[in-house]
Amino acid sequence: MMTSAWMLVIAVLVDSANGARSQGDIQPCARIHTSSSVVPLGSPVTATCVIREDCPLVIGQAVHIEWRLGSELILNSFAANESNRVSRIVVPSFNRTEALLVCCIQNCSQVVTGVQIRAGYPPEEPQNLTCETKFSSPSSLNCEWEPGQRDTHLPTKYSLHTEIRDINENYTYKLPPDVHHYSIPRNEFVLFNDIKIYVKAENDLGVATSAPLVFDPVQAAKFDQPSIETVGVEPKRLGCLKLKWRMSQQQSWLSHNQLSLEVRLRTADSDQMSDPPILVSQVRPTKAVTECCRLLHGTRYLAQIRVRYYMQGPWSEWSSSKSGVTLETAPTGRLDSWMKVSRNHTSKNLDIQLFWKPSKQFRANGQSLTYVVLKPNPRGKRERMCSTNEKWCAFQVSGRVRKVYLSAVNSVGESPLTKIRIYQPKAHTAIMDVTAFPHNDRSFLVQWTAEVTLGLTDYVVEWKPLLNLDLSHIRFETVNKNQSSLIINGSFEPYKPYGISVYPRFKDGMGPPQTVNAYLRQKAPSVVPKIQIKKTWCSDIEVSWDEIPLQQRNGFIKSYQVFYWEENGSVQVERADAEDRRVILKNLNTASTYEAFMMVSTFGGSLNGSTIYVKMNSFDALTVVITVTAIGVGLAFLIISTIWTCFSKHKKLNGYMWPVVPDPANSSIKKWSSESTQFTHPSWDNEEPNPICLSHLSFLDLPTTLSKEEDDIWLNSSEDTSDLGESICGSPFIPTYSGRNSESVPYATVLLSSCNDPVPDEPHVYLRSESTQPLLETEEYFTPKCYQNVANDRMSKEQCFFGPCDDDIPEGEEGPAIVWDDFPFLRALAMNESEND
Amino acid sequence: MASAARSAPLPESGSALVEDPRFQEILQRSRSLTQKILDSIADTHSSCVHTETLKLDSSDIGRFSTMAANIGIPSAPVLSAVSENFTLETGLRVMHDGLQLHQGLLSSIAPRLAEKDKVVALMSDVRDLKIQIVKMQKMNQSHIAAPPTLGSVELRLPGEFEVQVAAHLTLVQLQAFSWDVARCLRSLDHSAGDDDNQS
Repeated sequence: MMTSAWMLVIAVLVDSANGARSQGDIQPCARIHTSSSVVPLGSPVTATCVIREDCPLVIGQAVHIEWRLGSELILNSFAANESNRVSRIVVPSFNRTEALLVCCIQNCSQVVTGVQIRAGYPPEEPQNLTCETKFSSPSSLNCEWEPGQRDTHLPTKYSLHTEIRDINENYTYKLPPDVHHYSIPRNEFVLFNDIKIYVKAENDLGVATSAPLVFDPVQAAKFDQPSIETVGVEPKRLGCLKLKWRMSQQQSWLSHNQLSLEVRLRTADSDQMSDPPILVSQVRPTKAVTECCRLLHGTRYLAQIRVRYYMQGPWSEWSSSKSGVTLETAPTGRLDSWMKVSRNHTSKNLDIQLFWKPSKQFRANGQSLTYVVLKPNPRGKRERMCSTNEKWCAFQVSGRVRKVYLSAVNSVGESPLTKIRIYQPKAHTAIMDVTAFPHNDRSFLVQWTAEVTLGLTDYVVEWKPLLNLDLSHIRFETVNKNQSSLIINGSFEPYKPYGISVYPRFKDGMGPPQTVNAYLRQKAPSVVPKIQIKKTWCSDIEVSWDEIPLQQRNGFIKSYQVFYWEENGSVQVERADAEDRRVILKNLNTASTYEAFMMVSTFGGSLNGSTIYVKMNSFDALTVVITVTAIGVGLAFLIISTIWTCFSKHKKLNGYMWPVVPDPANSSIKKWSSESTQFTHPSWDNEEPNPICLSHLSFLDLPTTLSKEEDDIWLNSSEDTSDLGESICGSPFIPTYSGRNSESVPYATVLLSSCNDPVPDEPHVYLRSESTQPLLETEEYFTPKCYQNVANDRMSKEQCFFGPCDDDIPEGEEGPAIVWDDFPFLRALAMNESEND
Repeated sequence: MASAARSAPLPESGSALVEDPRFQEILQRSRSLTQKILDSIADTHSSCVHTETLKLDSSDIGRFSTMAANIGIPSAPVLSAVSENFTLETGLRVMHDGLQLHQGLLSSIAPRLAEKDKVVALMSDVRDLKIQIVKMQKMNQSHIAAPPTLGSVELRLPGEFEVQVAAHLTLVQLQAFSWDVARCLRSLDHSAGDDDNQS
């Protein structure tokens, strides 16, 4: 703030001093004389301030002249007052690029005069002057350069100077500040005539001139890219291609001049150009035919050319590619091979998969190559096993065959035979701990540990994409036995799995491989498996999921994580390893709905699946306990009360429970209507037998078709009713039976077996005859085939305990018919009676 | 004509000069420049002559001879193949004079043209060729060429039509003269062989 105010004062005073001078009648009070107003930075500056005697500010008083440089007061030690009107100052080192030097009086409250001093450096020599001729309309010679590295802090002017020899014409082009290029018009330079060009840089402290360029403007032209017209061959010129080319249409006038040409070639199946390009130093576009030799035979090449003026000037851009094929010869060199042998257990032959690749010395020397695998036969000839364009072949040979031969064939001939020994598969292992890691974006580093080296000859490293099992994708490399690592290169793709195997080969055979899978790069899987609820119990849920398909994994699965939470609850996580595709979500609140999703992680990223909702079944342990307890108590009470009733009211119960069977001796069967039975046993006909509770008349054997369980139940229950069963049994199936007359002969019993169902509403009843007549044992003439069980619509055949069910029972008989069915003997008697009638 | 020019015998002194590699180098440069002039005349004509009846491919020199005289366009000197009767020295001089004439004509017409970039470029090519011819003359040492000048030819161009006719006739005449120059130079080029027939 202070500084700027001070500068403002100085400016006004200096300006007023100048104004006074210009008016003529008013003389400035003082003058400053300096050695130079522009000085090299850091150099000393000398200045003298002279105050006029008649200056009103100093008339009649002694003054002390002081100096200020900018806003700083200069110490007296640097000033020398020669009188009270003259002062001389020496600034030993002027370190500012620009400053105002003023002299003042009265403690510098009055500035009497000042001078602006600038400091900097002389210009440096302009660097890197280059010129390029442009032939396109309008033609020009474009030059550019770089100023010196050092900032001069002073305005520096640049000018471009040309001198055209032979015609003695010189041109000077003055350029605006900070412009470091210029285009010389066509009429101010001469083609095929040397021109000298240089740049001058000039400021107040000096002049610097660049190194001059002397050149023919045609040499400085970057020609348009030429074009190749044809790439051909000449007869008997093996390994040679002949290129016919031309300059661009606009530069065809250069056809009489000598140019330099470069040719670069690459084989059509390679992505790299031959290195270095073939230089043809002297060509004429009029003879625009160039021959390139020492090329591979029978190989398609892509050629590009570029031109420049003879041995000088910038190269043009490369032309577009044109292809040509050299003359073919027979293949040369050998093939590297890799044979996988396995025993065929059905035919005792050996199954062989043979893979091969060209060795470094191999030359196909032709466009179309066929590979032939030959096997020696006992007659001394060779038998063709395969002929293929692929680089693999699978075939079978006898176990006695020790070697096969491989050869490459093209249209001209065939390569020397490569002998391939058949390694028998052996059990002994030689390697362990095979690992494979990405080495860079295109290769893997495979490492292994040798366990056995005795008899080891070498290793074979084999790799293949796991997503494409075609044998043509298998690649291999043979490795010296002393090596334990290999960098494998190939067209590996990221996020795709590769299987890498290392096979040890011994003198007497080949050992089993060690195999690892590897990814060049990994990322998150493409999909997340769907969570499936596998089991639910108490407050836990077991969820599982399917494996992610290999093509969608994108890396090694590191983990599965299931995140789940109830509403407003915290998130819980269960984690499973790659091999374990299930987790248990524990301690869930059965009253809540849970949200859950899965995150699958590879070593390259993770992916979240969609959220699912999980709800537990709405029962809890307390409810289960209460329900079970209530049922148990109820059953116990029922059993107790039934037993008590049986013992306390036996007779009454008998009368109630067992139906009153009419006395056949004192009654007419015709009058024994079903109603009476209904009366004595009112609830029976409406009662369907429980399909699970087993009932039977105990005096009969069980049908053999009963299940074991039913059988057991039956046996267990039979104890309770054995007396009843025995008492009534007149079954023709028990010939030893001897009836026993008693007051009350049980006719039949229906037994309630053990039951898992709820206690029935009404107690099971015994169907019983109260008749004292030996009812059945005297009816010898009546021997029914079987007892008909109490049947109803819902009863299955398996429930026919008394024999085969009669399927002939007409349907639709209801009411009384059913009651009759309840008493099969009686029904039989009734029917017999009616028949007799 | 080309084959006749090639087969014409050269005087012994001229023959020795022509065989000089440096002379041959200048000769080839001159051939390139001559070709450049020939290649650019068509473009230049279409850029500055807009009168439809004035076509470059028509032989208008005879039809416009009166106008040419009125405007003040001199005829180009006659250039023949170098022979015993038409020496190298004469040929170089005629080439020089013809080129100087056309350079002057173009420089007189150019200021009157709305689109002059291509005319200026052509004029520069003519100048450059003339410089190469001078170099060959210097090597011949039989004739020291006068310093190159850019003196314009005084033309009477009262109206736009005269300007168009003058530009047209100058270009037509320059084209014909350049063909003669090209033939003459080819007859001197020792490297010219079968390749010339290809081009």
